[in-house]
Amino acid sequence: MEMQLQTKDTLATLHLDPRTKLYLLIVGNVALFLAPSLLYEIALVVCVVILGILVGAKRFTVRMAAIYAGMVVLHIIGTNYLTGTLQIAIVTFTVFIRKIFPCAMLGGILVSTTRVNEFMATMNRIHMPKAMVIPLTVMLRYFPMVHEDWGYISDAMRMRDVAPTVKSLLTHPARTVECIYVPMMMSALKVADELSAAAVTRGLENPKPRTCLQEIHFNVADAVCFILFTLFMSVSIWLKLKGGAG
Amino acid sequence: MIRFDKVSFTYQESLQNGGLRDVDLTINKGECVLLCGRSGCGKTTLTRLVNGLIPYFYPGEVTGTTYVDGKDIQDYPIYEVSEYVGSVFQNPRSQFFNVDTDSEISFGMENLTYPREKMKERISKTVADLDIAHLTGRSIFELSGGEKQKVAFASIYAMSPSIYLLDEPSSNLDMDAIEDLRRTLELLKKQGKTILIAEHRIYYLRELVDRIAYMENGAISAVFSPSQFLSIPEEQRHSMGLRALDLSKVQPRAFAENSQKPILEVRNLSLFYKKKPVLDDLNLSAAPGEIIGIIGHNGAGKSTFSRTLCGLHTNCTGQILWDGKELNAKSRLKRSYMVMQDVSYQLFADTLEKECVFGIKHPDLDAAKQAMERLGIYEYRTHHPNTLSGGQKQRAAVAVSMVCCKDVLIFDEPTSGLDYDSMIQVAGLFQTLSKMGKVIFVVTHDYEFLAAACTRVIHLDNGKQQEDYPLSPDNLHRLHDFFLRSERRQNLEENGK
Amino acid sequence: MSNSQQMKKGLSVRDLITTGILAALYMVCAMIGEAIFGFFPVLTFLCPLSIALLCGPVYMLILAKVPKHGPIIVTGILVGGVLFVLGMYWSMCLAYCILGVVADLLAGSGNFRNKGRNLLSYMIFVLSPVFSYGMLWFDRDAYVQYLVEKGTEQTYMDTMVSTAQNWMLPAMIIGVLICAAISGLVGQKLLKKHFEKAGVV
Repeated sequence: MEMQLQTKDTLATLHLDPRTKLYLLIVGNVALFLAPSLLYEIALVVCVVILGILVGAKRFTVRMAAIYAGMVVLHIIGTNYLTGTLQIAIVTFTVFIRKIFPCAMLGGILVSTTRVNEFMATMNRIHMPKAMVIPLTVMLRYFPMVHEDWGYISDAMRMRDVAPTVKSLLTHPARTVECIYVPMMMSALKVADELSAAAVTRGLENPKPRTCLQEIHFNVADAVCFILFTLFMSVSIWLKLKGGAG
Repeated sequence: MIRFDKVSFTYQESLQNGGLRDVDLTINKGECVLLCGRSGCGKTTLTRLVNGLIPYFYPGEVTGTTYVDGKDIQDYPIYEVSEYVGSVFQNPRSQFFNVDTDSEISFGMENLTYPREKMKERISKTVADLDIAHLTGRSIFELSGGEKQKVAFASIYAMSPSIYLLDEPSSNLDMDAIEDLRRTLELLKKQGKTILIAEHRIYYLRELVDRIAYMENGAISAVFSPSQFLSIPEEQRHSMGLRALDLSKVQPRAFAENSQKPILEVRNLSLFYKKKPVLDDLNLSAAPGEIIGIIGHNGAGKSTFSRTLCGLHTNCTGQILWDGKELNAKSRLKRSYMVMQDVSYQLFADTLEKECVFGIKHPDLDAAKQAMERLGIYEYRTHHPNTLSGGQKQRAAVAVSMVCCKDVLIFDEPTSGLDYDSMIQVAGLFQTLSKMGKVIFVVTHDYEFLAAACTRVIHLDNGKQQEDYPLSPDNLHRLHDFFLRSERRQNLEENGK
Repeated sequence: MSNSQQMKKGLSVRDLITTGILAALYMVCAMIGEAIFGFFPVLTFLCPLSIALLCGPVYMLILAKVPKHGPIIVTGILVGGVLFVLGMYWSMCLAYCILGVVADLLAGSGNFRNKGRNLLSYMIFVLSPVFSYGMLWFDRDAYVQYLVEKGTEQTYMDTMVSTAQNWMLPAMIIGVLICAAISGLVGQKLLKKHFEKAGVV
């Protein structure tokens, strides 16, 4: 899982309000769910690619677009040149992935261009309760630490002849599971305690709504994206209805 | 500013030690007070009373009153206390709430609902005062421990509390980061802030502290001025379990000449991380029983080097030989063992006893018992490793290495956060291992520990092996040069002005 | 413990932070489960099973560490929400939220200390990923029609799809329940063996 979270350069270009981003995501999902044809899907993906490049997540977008293209090719080969079980297997898979992939792409782009504090401020703005906002922030922050922890644990296991490999998982499942889960969860609990202390002593329990350094407001870009994606969704609904009637 | 009036405290959780007994202490505005004493003496507990973590976060029974600015701290919710009292903790890794530095610096202010304009103003002031412009707009995962600590500090500084509490802030820092910490504290002191520090490693506070409170078993047993403290005879200081305030007085222990032939040899070893060279053309040999300290600045490749020795890092060229035979990564993994800075990651079993034989096909139970006895942890054999103290966990890891018959042992910062007694115990442990003929490497930033434990020093920096010398009184100045250079550089700069 | 006192106030900041961190861990396990089979044709249907197999210990730790109403709901919404933002299929995300509430109530009925109910609660919660395959059943006709148009033999298709439909969904659900039971039991055992002994829960 790749969660490259915001650094300076990714914020250099077009800036969207997090609320717009959420809206785009929902609309994108609906549009994709109702997508009447492969062509329509591809058009949607093109929109997403343009958006991705404009908001500054260039590398991610290009990579994902390439994978998508590969998937489409695989799909076409699968439907036209293969037969029998293999065809069903491939096509089922690509249909399935195609239903997920564009949204994953959109999601990746939007996540990688949003600052956490900006996102938190938005959550407060739309009156998301603290009980959601705090765990969410912490969660985002903890993902990469899981990776760090994993590095230490796997080192430690390799030095003990209990290396975390597929082989040891099959021959000693209980032991391997124990070795991975126990230190991982112990470390998580420890961080949870220390992080809580650090957050509480910086006033996180203040019942007043937090302020935010980042300013959040809609601008022209928001409006354009809003209209474009709404239009797109409407087309899919319209096509679906027409198709259903005919 | 802060007044403890007959404060006693017992933690509710039985595993927590470090309660308080009848503490009476007054700290004036603008004063810098150091709390020191053995682990578990209650110094951290005392800081928790001031920032309100007790009893809110660590439940227990409090008697007596803690006043901050004349007010009983327990009458206020913890978020109101945080406007006056800023707390910096030990572990920079787990102090960060956000993913990027900008959010982190503004985090406290956002919680206290500062208006945006004021926040911006405070941030630019903070960035200028603490000289951290290069750290703004970064993701925290690309920061070193020292840099994280600086940003965590900046987040507090931005809230501009009048009292700063620091709980072992230097534990996880290298000497450069400690030097930066010292400068920050100097700045706070000039601004007339009140500072309360609980700390083991105290040398960097020499010029800063106004009073030193020595704690024993939850009570303050003596309060010194810095000059009184410096005049405590070394032996008495050691029996109090305290580290040195003046590093220049620390002398290395005398070691018997090691007459053994070298057994481990490193030839033309170059290390890479991804495709980037980390260390170039390393050559060294080591005899059984040698205790080799590895020093160097942050990013000098010390940890890559230790991981390579263990066979965990394989991206390297050159040879590593044992008794004349070349070792590949796999056989290095068999022969060597690294004791990590956070030992918890490498303890897997549910009792110490089982830990020692964990993952071994035909475990030698006698060897395990012997190892535990030798290391003085046999009495804890039925305890869960996680319930042991830091030093005991370290010993548990060493016991494992003994049972697995490892010949090369590598320690990563074994003394971070340890008090004097535990540090000396680690040094003693090294002696034991040395007598058994192990080759020991230790990566450390701890000058006192190097002097107390190592027979030889290897200095890595700028991608190269800079120095390699036996640690004797004649050579001490070289070590001194390395550790106190940053301090000296600072003095030179100041004189230049 | 002053748990009773905290209970009145609902979730404290510490509970929320603990929940957030463990939810992150839960999600990492779920992602790994997804990644094991997710990228192979056909095998992708085994994903819910591998997810169920991996997440049990973390789930049990959440219940043990924050034994109150809320954390499981929060975990459900967070995992569902983040998966949604990452572009996972919406029906699964919705299932996480709804089953989160159900699982929370179920575990709560045993005061979060009843092992059987906790296990059952996990088995229900971890059914969520199954819903992402709902699309294949939901939109089956269009899908079959599409394949037939592209030249697959209708009869072959029919048998294939109907068998797939008849046994796959129940098989998947039963598989998930079995995996979940195993994983949950392992989780409870780990908790007892390590975390209770170490005094951290």
